[in-house]
Amino acid sequence: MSKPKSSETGSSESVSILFEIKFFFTSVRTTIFLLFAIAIGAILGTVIPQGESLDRIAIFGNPFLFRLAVIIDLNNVFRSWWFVSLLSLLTLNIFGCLFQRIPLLLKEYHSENTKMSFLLRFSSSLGTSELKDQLLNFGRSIMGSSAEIAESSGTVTCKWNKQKIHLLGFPLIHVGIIVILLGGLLGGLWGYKGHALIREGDTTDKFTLIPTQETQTLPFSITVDDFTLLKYPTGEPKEFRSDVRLSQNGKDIQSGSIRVNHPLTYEGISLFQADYRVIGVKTVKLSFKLSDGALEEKSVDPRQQIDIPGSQSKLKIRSLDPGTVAKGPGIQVSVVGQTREPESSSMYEKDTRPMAVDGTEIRFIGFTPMYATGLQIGYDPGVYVVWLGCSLLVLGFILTLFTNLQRLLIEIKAHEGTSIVVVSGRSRKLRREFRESIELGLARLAELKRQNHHNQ
Amino acid sequence: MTNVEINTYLAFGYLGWIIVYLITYVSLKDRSRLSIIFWTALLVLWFVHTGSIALRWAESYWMGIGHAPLSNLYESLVFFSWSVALGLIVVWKKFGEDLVPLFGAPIVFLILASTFLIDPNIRPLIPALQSNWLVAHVFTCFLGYAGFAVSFVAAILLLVSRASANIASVLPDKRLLDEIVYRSILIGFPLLTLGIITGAAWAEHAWGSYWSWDPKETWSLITWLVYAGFLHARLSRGWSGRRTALLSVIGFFAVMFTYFGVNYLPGLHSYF
Repeated sequence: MSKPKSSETGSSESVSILFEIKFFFTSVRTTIFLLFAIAIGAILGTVIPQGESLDRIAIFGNPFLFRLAVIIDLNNVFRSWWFVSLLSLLTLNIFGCLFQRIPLLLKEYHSENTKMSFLLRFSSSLGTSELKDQLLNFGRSIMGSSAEIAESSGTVTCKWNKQKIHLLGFPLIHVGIIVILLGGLLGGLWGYKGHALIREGDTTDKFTLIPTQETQTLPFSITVDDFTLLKYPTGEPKEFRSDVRLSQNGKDIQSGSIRVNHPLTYEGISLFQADYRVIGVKTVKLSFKLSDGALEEKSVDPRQQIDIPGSQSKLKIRSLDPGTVAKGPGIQVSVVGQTREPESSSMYEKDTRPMAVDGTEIRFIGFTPMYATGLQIGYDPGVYVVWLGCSLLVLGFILTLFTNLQRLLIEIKAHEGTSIVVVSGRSRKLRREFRESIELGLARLAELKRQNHHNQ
Repeated sequence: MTNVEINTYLAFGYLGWIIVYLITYVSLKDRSRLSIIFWTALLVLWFVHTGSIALRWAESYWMGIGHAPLSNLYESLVFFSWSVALGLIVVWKKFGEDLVPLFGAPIVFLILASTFLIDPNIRPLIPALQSNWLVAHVFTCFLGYAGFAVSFVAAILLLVSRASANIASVLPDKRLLDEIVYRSILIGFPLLTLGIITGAAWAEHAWGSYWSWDPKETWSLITWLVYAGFLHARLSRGWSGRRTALLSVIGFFAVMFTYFGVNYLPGLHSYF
């Protein structure tokens, strides 16, 4: 396909411009240009930190480069006007190419395209009807089906078609890509993404949008009943789980747990486990060994004073260290009682000696942190469109790779006492292999004498 | 013997295979009879390689943290070298061509040897990796990468033989090399596409967004675009020989950058 000169294409200027435009949108040259242009744009988007202020990047100290960078949104490449335009142009170009090529595919599907990739001529001393039987068998063994046979004025034409569905592969792949891009557009226009940090026990219907940080309201509210963090014996995290209830107008509508890779979805809005934060201490676990040897364990609320068993004194937890020192997690406590001076002291999980108050030995065993769970909130009306596009794309690849359209045409006619056999074939893929298999098969039929061969 | 020990022996096995084959290649005029021995040896190495991956899988179950051995840099490198070796075997079988496998085998060796530098321990799966998409994603991506690696080797041989007629006389026919460059990408491209799709499905499941322009995602798209460009240039514009070979080389650099280079860019795809 060479670029037409405008002088040849039309009498008026407007026609030639239209032709140029049509050419732009139906040319594979444009496709290749756009593919590489998008690739280069995407490279820019990965080497320049995105979402950060441009004046932090040294190279943009130069005023000209800085202005250029601002104009082309270098810190927000993937949403910039030029990148989105390139993607839109690619979509239009694929559409244009498809639109132009589909009639050709339809013609080929209906066998109107008779262009064959090879042509072989033979002569034989056998009669046409005898030859016909042999060649029909041969054709069936190669093509796996019976032929369409037509006879007219002494010429027998046998036609085979195999796997015409192969032709669907090309449009499916390209329609798939267009559908994916449209799905992306839907998501970009009407979808949103946000984040909510919710404390265990809290209920909220507010979240902050990413990346604008605006606060938004959900059509339902989320109550986090519990957050659990499980670890492997080696210390690596095994599971993050938020047990949540969703409610609308005071009524529970859904409940369940959200884990990484296991989101919860309600009316298209999905909640994902994103992260978590320790924001306090839920309970502190202490053990008390009384003077008579009895052992008692208590999980206590760190905000309240605790009665020390076997003593008149009370214990108050002043602060907790989650484990920043070698001795492990520890607490600072003060002991108050009517009969004693207030005293402060520290206890650590790994302490060998307990703290003693009035004969009761107190040990700090551990604590349960108070978590806030970080939920990612996502709504994307385009996501199923994207999956549809992906399915079409994959189906198209399967058809393209694993099927192959082949045609075989054998004409037999009587000519001055001998029979002339003309064999032509077409294969969308592996042309040489198809031709060789035909040639090899025909060579085995001893009655045929090869006359000459043309390549088309 | 543990899988890690086997992998060490295996790396040297591949290296030994390369050296002995190279010596034979240079010193013998007619190597057709020895070829079958090297073919068998390569198959044996590859079966041991397969066994080592299976053993690692079993070992993880014996440790009580069973998962497919595709979950960290060590495991992905072992699997990548396995896929490239498979690609070379397929080329040998399909095209009856042993020079592409011979010059591709150093890639297998280098990838496998690079695992000596990193932590080989089997680790339990962190929550983000506990997904059925993991296996599908890694499997398709690396098989695709293997196709591109094979294409890269053939492309380099093609470029070298175009540059020097002397060298060309001992290398495979240029048309055959060109065919290998193209056919390997024809296999690699749909696999990479599947890899990107399974990755997107996984990201949608884990993070709530099938595409977030994270550097690794973006670079896999760049790789995809380069190979899409390759296929269109070849199929519709009739490019072949030097120009498509150059595109294949560029594409493989994009693959390598997607795999390793991205770690030097800011982003969240930090598992391997």
